[in-house]
Amino acid sequence: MQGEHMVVLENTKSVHNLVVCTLCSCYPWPVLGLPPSWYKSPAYRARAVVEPRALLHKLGLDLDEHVEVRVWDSSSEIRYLVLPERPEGTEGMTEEELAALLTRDAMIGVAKVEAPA
Amino acid sequence: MGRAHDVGGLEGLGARRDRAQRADLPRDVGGADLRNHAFDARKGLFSVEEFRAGIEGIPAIPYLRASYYERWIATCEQGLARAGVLSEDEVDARAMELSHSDTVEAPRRDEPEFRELLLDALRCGMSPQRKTTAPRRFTAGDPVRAVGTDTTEHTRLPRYIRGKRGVAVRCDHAFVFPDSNALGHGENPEWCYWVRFESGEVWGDVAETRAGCTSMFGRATWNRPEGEG
Repeated sequence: MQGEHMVVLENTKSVHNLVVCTLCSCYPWPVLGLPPSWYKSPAYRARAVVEPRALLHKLGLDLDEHVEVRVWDSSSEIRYLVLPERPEGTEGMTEEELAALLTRDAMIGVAKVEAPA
Repeated sequence: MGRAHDVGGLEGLGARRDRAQRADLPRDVGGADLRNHAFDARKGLFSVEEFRAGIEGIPAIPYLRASYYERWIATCEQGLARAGVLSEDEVDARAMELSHSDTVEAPRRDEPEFRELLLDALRCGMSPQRKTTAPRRFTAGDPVRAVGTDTTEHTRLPRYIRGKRGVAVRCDHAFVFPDSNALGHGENPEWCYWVRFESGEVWGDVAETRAGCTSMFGRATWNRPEGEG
């Protein structure tokens, strides 16, 4: 069914995780819902493992050189979910307020969570 | 022999998609109902591994031309035909009927027992985890090398990893071995290891800095201790 075995990958200041399924479209759908069409596209599946930084740049996310990028190629058994880095300036926010900042894309690893303006 | 679905690292497969695209929903009857049919696995008609293998066995050009759910339809047709539930002629006849009709009523059938099976699957999942008496072959920190053997049979070891050196990270579960179960050879569960591959090892000169790939490419059948032939 997918999602019976899920692993949460924590993003930090020095590690950024990115999830892909090069062979098909494995995705933590019980938590994140149906995967977006771009996630299932051959273009994303092909490039995420070989040029994650360039791919993220094209999707609007630039990572510093010192940040290690870990790409997780999902197998049919395991589903990965990214725990995005908590943005600065959110220290006083409640759990509900923080949850409202989360995005699906941040939990795939193609975006960061932004603090409210 | 790699197949068209095995795209890790390939170039020329189209432009990146706009990240803002909405979720791809199954259209009409096809996708949604066939997902139910996919869980004919619960009826023992075909396994989830066979479902995937059916998609991954679609010849290259039709695979790349087909939409996501057209691939699902293809594997379901194949699986149901193999199980003797539908024949190709019946599918073709129905497709012809649908193409000549503006309004088609999808047949409905009440199957309370199967409905309960599906609800149970949605609540509890259909885990591929299994018990095995085999000892773990690797421990954390062991250098391993993915087998480099190419094959024309179904395998879920991606092409880009074959022959590459990695490091075993951890091992928590034994799962159904897809390469076996997809071909009807039985579940033959194997321990699964997280194996870390560095970008430079996998991609050589085109590797990005400070990047690497980890996944469950760690079936005993897919890996050898580094140094073993």
